[in-house]
Amino acid sequence: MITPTTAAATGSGPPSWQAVVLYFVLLMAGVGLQATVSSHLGFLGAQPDFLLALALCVALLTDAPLGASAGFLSGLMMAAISGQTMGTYLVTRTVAAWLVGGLRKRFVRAGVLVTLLGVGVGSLIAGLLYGLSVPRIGLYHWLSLTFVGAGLNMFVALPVAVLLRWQTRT
Amino acid sequence: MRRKRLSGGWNPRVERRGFKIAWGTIVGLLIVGGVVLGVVHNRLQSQGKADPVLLGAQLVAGPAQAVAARSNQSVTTTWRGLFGGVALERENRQLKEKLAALQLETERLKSVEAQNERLQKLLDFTAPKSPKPMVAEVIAWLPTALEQSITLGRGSRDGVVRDQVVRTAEGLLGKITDVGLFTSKVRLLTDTDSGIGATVGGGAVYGILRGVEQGNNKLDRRHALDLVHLERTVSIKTGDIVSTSGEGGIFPPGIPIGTVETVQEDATHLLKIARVKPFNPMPGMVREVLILPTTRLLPTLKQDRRHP
Repeated sequence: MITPTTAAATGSGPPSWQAVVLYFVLLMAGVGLQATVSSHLGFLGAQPDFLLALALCVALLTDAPLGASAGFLSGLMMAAISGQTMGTYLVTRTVAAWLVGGLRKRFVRAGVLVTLLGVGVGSLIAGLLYGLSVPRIGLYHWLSLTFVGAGLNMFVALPVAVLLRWQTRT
Repeated sequence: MRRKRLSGGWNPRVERRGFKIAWGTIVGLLIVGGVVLGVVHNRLQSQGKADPVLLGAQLVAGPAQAVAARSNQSVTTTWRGLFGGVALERENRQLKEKLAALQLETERLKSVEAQNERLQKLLDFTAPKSPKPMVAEVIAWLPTALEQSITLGRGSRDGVVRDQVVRTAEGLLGKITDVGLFTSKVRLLTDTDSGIGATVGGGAVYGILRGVEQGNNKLDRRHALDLVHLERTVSIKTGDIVSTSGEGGIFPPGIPIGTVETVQEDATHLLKIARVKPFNPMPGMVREVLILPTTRLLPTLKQDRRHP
């Protein structure tokens, strides 16, 4: 039987209050990490994007609409930290998380590995959309930032994916 | 059993379809809302006005950033205390030397100040009291790879306004470009959108200092500082000190920036370009900064330049 609680976990209904609280805590942790740690984890000029990784994990472990909402909030928080390109962050992340959330239907079991691959794909989509909307970035630089950044996002998404997967199971 | 339950109070099929329609509308609204908010934000930013949505978001994100910055500082301090004994000893020795030099400088300034007061009394001159700089804690360092910025834990509530100059004890860092209620964003000199008037050797050479992206290859891009528009005939060498010229009216003159690292001709072979090594450490290492009071020095400086 599908109950409201399992409906949230399988992506067919609204999230439970525990899930919302956990998401908010993770979002605030993501804001803190993005502001302080992100620049220290850079590689080849790219940096991990904790907020995007979180939104994509939520999209992959719930469904497209909830993922889109998480993407929107991720964009809003990123704009709050960086103070610019607000519209670009909002739209690119909402669309990326929505598309990645749609991928969930293709998989029978959304395991941690699948989630990490999904985060990589979602990061590439977000990077592609960002590059199209901010054309002043050089092509090679943008490619480097997008691909290396996607790899770093997969790396930082691992603990989030494990935690969210545990939450959706319980 | 299953049918009986489904025919009861809660029908998942109907519920799911209802959610699907509602969620579909919400996704559409989010995307359209994102576009609208972005357009409104850009318009308000171009008019120099604050965006209320962004202010609200900063209000939510600000405490999390502050907590993370303090935790980060505590962890760094503990780590350095545990494993950085040799480095700490070296730093301690350097600081003692610096302190001794500063004490001598303070004594000299005190005697100059006393002399200045005596002379002012003789001339019956009352100098206006200059406002003091504000100390601010850094709560975010380079949040994205595409811009060179830091965020301070001081905002409009503390009297911070746009275009205020930010520096450390070592030298100039940048200027404030966005002000929230509790936070403000500083665009660093190394940002590619940054450009200020600078001088070498205490006013002998003038140029424009701007942030550039440089790297060993097309994929690896790093931020650096270049002093451009230098006449080919000017005398400039490695190790010369670069400081603000005061041109533009935002940055006061004489704030140290860095030293000349290399000098070369530009692509036209008509002008010179100097690579500048900033006095400030890596932006990620800066913990506290000074926000200087707003100054408007342009008319005075222009007058001084024409009639030295």
